[in-house]
Amino acid sequence: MVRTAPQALAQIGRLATPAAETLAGPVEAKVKDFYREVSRLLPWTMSNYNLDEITTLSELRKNVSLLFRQNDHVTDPKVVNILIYKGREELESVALQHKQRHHLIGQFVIAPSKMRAELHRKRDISPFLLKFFNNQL
Amino acid sequence: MAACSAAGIDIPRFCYHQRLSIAGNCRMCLVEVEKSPKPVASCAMPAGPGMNIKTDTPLVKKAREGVMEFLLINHPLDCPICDQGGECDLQDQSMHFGSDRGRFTEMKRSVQDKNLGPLVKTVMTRCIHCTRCVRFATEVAGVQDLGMTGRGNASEIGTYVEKAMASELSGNVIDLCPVGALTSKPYAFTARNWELKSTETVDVSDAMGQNIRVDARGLEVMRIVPVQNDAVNEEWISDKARFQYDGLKRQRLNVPLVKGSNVLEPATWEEALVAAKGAISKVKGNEMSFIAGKLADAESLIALKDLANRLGSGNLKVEAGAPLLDADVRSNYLANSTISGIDRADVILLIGTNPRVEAPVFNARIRKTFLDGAHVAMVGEEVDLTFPVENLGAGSDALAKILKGSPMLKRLKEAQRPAVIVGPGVLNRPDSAAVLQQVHELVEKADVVKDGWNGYNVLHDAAARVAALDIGFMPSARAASAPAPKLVYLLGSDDFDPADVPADAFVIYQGHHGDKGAARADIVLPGAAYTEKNATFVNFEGRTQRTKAAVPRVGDARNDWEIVRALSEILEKPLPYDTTDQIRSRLADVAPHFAEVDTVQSPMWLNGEYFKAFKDRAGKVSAQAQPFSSSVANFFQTDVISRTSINMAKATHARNAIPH
Repeated sequence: MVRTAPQALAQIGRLATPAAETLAGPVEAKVKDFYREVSRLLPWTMSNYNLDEITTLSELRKNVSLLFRQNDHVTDPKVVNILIYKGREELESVALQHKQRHHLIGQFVIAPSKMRAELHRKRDISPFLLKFFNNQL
Repeated sequence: MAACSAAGIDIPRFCYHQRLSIAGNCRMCLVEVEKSPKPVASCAMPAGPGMNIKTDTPLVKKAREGVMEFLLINHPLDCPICDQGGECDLQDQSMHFGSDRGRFTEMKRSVQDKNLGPLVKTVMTRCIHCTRCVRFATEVAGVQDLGMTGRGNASEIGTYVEKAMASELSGNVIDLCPVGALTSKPYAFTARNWELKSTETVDVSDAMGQNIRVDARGLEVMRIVPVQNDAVNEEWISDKARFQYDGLKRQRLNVPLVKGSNVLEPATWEEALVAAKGAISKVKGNEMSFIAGKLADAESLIALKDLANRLGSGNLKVEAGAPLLDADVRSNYLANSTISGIDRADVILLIGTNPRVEAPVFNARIRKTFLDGAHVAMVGEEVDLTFPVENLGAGSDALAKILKGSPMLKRLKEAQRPAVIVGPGVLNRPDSAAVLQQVHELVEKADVVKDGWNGYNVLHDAAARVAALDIGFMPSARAASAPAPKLVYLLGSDDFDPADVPADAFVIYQGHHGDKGAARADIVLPGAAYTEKNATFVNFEGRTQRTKAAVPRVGDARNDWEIVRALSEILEKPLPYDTTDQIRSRLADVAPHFAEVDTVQSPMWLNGEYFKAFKDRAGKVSAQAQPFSSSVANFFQTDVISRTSINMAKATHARNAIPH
């Protein structure tokens, strides 16, 4: 697994080009490419950051796809490009180990599980109930 | 001294206390009076016309410095380890009048500490013999336990024989002691007064609504002390109000629980509320019953009542007490004379009440009235009220005898301001309707209610009771025909009647302590204790008072009325209030006096119309013979907080050890 890291890094170096240059072309394909790119790095991330104690690979994959889906309402190609660019920055800092373990746990384990809980809630929840559940009253 | 403080001049003092007799033995309050050869003790000197008092002459200062030097001769220099440090009269005044060097080269005297029980700690070497505690015990608390023995340098304060103080008000000597000789045992060495955050709030350990100050450090209540309110508790509080706070740290419910396979398992709020919805939607409105506990606040009571009515249930109840009182006429369930009004009564008849355990501070007030010359008589089991009481009998036959014409009836009739106090010993009886009719007849016959004076008083034993009656949290007309409940909602109710909670019923418990209610429950919703919420309570004279949150709630607990509000939305019957202000305006809509905080609105007296209606409604019931006995068996342990408190358990133990 660890062997994949330098390869991934090389890829990232190649793909992390300025947003303006990648404006051309259909964005859907680019999003899919980027998602695959992220997915390929997940097994290495699991072992390198010792995340086995916290979560499983499939769980992590689900969480990442949830984070992707958080932006599924975005259609403007410019915005999509920016999002991919920002996502790649994140990916890079994971791959280069600029992020530490607790960053990953917070960002890719705890936050998505909270989002999922919110999604499970009824859509027409009142502001009162939302505050009640979040202990903000 | 009173004249000087009226003129805005503060005179230093140790032994003088406004509510105690004058001893004049500390000599700290010396002032110079013109034409008097020596300085005089201002506490004992009556102010006369044309008297010229000088309080800041060199002579006065010199005299006070001399007194201070003598006091400090035998006072240990242990301020750094003394619990009084930082709030000590002697410390403060020695900064003004103390010398910067001592001339005393001999040994300081030392005195053996006395054991006054588990609540009051003594370090008798620090005592300066002001005798405030002795005077408090004999004059206010009415127990002859403390006294002064020995003379001169050998004099000591103490119990004559080794024993705990047998008073429900013993904690007040801690506040009275101007030095660190009497301090709080549970508070000892736990905090310094300058690191505490104080919050003035209201006590709920009895129905009197004693004003208290909760001193907290961080998340923890460190101690509770009284706040002066002449209309309610003067400046005393009961030992339960003062020392039960350690119960707030134990056995708390801090997370919602849902019964899984036979055991309660932690759940999120959402899961718990959805589970509650599942249970509630399975039963019909009339098959649900709602029982409120002793510590329920007005906001959660009104929210729960509104929710119950929306669900089609009128089966509302307050646990253990007054099942037959109704809310139609407010003067029927309040202490109409008011607590401070009792001071003016000249004949008092207690029926089925033992105020010494039901409201000790109120008992001290009745005692004060007695000392002022009032005649006090009682009908009920013989108890020691700390002052002589004429016992007229134990049960309803004694009432009948009074009604037939007895010296007591004559006495009540002749009195200017007679007061009849009916207590839980009558209200909790199954035959209370019959006894209350007798009482009503007595009230009519003896002219207890007259122009400018209403002497009919009802004394309650639980903080939630009056607010529940004000709101109408009681069985509806339809409730009598309701089937056995299949779902019971307990709002902090732990002393419920087992008959009200059938074995097959689904139980939802909302409250702050894991006790009988939570043990029986299928769903537990953690609420807030009285030190953790801003809530409204009404005391037994009808005074609306509000608690203030002194510490945050524990764990994932929520405010009580907000839990009910959230549940109502999950049930798709949302209640129309989202904020505390909104629910309070709803309270004020139901009963206007909820908007008038800290005042008593004197209720209407319908010239006995109510008594007639009561008689018609109750019909013919016959009174049973057993004596009226108080609802409070053990003063120290009456509700969930005091039952979980170790201080209260120790106090119970110490009290039981005292031979009667």
